[in-house]
Amino acid sequence: MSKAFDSKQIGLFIASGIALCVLPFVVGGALGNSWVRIVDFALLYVMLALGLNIVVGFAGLLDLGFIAFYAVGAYTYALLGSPHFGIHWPFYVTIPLGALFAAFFGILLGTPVLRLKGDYLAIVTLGFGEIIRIFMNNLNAPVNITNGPQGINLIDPIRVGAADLGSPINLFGMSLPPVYLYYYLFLVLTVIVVIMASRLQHSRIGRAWVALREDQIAASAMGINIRNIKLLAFALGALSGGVAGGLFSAFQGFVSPESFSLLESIMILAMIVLGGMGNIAGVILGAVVLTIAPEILRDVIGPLQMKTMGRMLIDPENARMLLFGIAMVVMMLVRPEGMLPSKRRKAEFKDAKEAAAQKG
Amino acid sequence: MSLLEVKNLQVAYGGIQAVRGVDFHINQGELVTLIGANGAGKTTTLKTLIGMVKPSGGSITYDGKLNGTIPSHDYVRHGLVMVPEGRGIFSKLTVEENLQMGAYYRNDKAAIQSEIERVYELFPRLKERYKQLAGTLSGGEQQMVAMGRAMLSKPKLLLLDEPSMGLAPIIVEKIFEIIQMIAKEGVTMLLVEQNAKLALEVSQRGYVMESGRITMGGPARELLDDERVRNAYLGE
Repeated sequence: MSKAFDSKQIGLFIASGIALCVLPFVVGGALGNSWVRIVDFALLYVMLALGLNIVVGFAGLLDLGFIAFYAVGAYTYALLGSPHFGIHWPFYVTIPLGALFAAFFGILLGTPVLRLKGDYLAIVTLGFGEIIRIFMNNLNAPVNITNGPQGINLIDPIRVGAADLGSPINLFGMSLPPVYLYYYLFLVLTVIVVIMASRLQHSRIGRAWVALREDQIAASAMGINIRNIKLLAFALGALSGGVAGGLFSAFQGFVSPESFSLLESIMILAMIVLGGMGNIAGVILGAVVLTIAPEILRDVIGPLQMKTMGRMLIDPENARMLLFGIAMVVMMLVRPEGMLPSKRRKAEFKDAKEAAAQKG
Repeated sequence: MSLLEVKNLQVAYGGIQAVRGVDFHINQGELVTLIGANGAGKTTTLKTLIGMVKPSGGSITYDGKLNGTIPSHDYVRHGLVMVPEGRGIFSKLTVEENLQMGAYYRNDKAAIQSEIERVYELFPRLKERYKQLAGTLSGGEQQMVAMGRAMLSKPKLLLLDEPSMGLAPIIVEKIFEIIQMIAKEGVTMLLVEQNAKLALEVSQRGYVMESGRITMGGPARELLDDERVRNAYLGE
């Protein structure tokens, strides 16, 4: 069904578009370029969280190894665009290739876990994530493929024609540093991922995922091929994870297995849960908040302690995790459905609450 | 030739025989009722028909084809549709989305939309609530969603499992009106009911099932007049 947008919505749309376009200049001018870099990362995490949201939020398949797809995308880009093998393919080949590889790995993971649900599925996916990381760590012998724990260095930046996003570009008398350039690239791709996710959500496939979550037998009776629809969720989720991975690789210029730890998978899942599982706006909010908030805390905790107590009592890094943990616990107590829950998710929590109330 | 032919069907859950050699058939265009007490094996028989449960013996021939050779998600493509006991609607989808799920395997968008409109004409209540999550509807409305969804699957043979269960008498009557309307459109139906009187009144033929066996069968009128049926199922 097509929906007509009223003029208010169009106005809001244009306003937020302009805001997103000038954002790096505002942030960079006020806080410095390191903060633009953080905003870039926020966009990468939005893409990752939206990818995982397809698997967890839409299809209801708990995946604790999602970072593996990010790793596959990142390493594909790194291996095919660095001096490591001396291959320097352009980004418009390596990023789609990385995404396809990630999707392939998504199906590879999906196939054996088709019959698993809940906790069991979570454990297998967690194992899968670790396997990928350990492979990256150890594939330097007997044949050196990934360069092991040292990682891959000097990865090609993204080059569009003569423009090289890895070095400043002069435009209208302004010198735009790489973090600004990558911001716009990430923004474009994030918008594409958002559009893809929202189209999926309201499509026949999106409905099939909801049906699958609720009742597999009834879904099958509607003519839904459970196997294919589950694999499709894994593949599409992995696809956007792979895109984000390739961008990460180009942006950083360096990848190593360390970047793809279990904690990263958990963080992405936390973004979804905190933001509002299944709701695209909620997931975006969760990803942005969970990327930005720790960085703010990093800047605040140290100086605050120095000022109030005259010395560092708690290491800022530890305090950050502590505050973060407390925030999560409080959130789960006060608003377990997330900051911006979807209509369905809200209904689920209401059902669960009522059932609990009836039990007394 | 009959649309559905069941011969010596046997189903076992582990060591327990739920269905012990059942024979029946349904002709094209017929409305047939299967009555029986709790635990007689009615629901199991239905589940076996759409491939949700594997039989341990016997054969099911639907539309000239032997069942058990196609995956269960393909039954709907062959026009074999079931409205399960407890309705089986998707409570986290809206009313309209539930109806669209019924047409999941179809691609003819325009026809689907006009059929959804027709379901709304039949059940104006659903039109009022088309954007509401189906789980928030009353039992009767949910049954309407389930029947509407089944109609969008374009059934050739519609299997209804206890459509009147847990509904107020006035809603039950409405549901049975709808059943008769669907039958008039030429849809063949197998109705499983505990409300034997109503079910037999709308059906052409009926079977009585007791502890895994079919003990009686014949025209619905005759069953309604039968002394044993009256004693056991009509409470007279």
